[in-house]
Amino acid sequence: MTESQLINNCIKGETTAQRILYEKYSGKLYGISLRYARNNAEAQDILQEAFIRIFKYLPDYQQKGSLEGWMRRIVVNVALRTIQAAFSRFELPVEALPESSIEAEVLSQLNAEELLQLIRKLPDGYRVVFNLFALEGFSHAEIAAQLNIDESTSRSQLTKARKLLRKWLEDFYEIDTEKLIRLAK
Amino acid sequence: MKQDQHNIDNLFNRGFQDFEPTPPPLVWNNVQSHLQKRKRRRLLPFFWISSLLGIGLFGYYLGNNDASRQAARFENSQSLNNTSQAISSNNVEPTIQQENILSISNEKITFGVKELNSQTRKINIALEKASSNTISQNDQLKPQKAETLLNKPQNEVILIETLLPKPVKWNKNILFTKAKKEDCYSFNKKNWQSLAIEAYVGGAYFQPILATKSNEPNNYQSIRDSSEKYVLAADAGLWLNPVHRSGLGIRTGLNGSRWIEKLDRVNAYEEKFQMIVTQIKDNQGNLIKNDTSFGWVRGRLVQKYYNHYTALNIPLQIGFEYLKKDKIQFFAYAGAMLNLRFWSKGEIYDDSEKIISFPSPNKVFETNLGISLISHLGMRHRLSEHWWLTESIQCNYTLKSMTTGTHPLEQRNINAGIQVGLRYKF
Repeated sequence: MTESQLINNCIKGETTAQRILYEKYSGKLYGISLRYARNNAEAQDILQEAFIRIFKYLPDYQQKGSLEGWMRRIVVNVALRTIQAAFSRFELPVEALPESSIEAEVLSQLNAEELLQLIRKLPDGYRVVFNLFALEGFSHAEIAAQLNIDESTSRSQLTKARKLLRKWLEDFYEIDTEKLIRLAK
Repeated sequence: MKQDQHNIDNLFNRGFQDFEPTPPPLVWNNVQSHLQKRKRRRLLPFFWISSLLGIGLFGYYLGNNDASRQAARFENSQSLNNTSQAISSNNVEPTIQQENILSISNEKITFGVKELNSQTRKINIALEKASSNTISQNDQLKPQKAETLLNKPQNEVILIETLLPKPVKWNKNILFTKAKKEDCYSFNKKNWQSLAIEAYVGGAYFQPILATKSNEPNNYQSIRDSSEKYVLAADAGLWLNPVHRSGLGIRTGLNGSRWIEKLDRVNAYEEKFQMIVTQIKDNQGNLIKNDTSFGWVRGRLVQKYYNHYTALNIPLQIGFEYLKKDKIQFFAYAGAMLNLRFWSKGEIYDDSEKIISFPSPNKVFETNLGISLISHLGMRHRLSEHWWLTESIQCNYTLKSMTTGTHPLEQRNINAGIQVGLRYKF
């Protein structure tokens, strides 16, 4: 079954097609939800709401861009709406961090679960801007429009997010993964 | 510093590249139950609207039918005695009087209708007299059969002259009178979202609604009802359909429809002496012997009738369209339809399958104008940028009786069916 046929069958309301679409993309989209959410339960809520919207608005999907991209966008929108209340906490003070460099080969040894624990430790505003900029590829102008903030705010949030992550990664480099996980908890 | 930042971004990008954790099954269960609820909710309004429409029309039909049946029974029981007196004192034309009712040929009935159309009542009485004479002379028939046979000739006359249209005086000035400027609606093109043209075909089941209007002594209506076998309609046409941005739509166009009504006349009281052969076989199916017996068999198909009505219609409807979805649209329209019933035809087959046809001679079938109410409920599916597939259910009720003023029954039709069309949206 081609993607186009799958979409058409989902639009017709065929449960089997809807299940296939869910099985195909739920992993990737759950990964995105986890990055934005504060905990697993919130990520599951985001994923659930996102799929409901995906099936609801699938007839509007023009099949011009990639389906995955369109679905990712819906997940991000749902996630942003879910944690909207956190936007007021964007301007969190960050302590001065020492400048240092991290070797690429060390960083590559970190797995996704460990990175997820780090991202989740970030304050909501930092996490959102970092996700949108570094992982979704949005520009500061787009983030500013999306979150209804200034571009300068977006930039400063990103800088602060990177500083925090760098500090935590240095801790990880100096101590071990166990400490990183303890920090995340 | 910049390199650091780049490293961090890359680290997370790489780290999450193949990150596809499996969500718990609870998520899909919740999504699925929500989708099923939504499906039920989506179908619910259509179910209720269709049900209410169906119940309403059925109720209307039942109410009309019961009332008219009761009226007919009352009229028949009252007028039967009076008419039997009238028959005895009536001067009956000898040529018809001498005929046996079961052997009256269709040609003769045709002659009666053609020649004495303005004196239908007189012919009916004459035929009744003829039939009553026949009954008294026939030893095979029991006395209670007289009433049924009495109906027969009159019923035949009714069916032959069924649905004679009423002449309408047409004023050609209606077409050429120019409307006043202040009466014209100002058409602001910007507010109209779309203009579409649609071609469609449809099929329907229709139900004749009969009402007795004369004091004739016979129960025409019950005989008509019992002899009705099937009634089908088919139509095709074009819609021109501008739709306002708000969803308000107007539809007009041209519609052609064809209705076919079949009636079987069975003489339940006619008895025939027949030879009955029974084959007796053994376990292997070999014929052992034939048992021959003789007996009376009741009931015989006397004649089959096909009434055809063809009409050209001009509908005008107003309605609402739900246009918020890109791939699917819903609509409901109601309005009236001007019916130009320009051609009707009756075909009669006798018991030897010989056809006697009445192909709309001017004296019998006339063009007439009528009005019917028409409503549609349906949906459209987008096929491409401009093309849509339309499916709808339709209900149609003819307001004006299709029979002539001299006909003892009024006939109106109600039909319900489906239409499928192809729509081009400009």
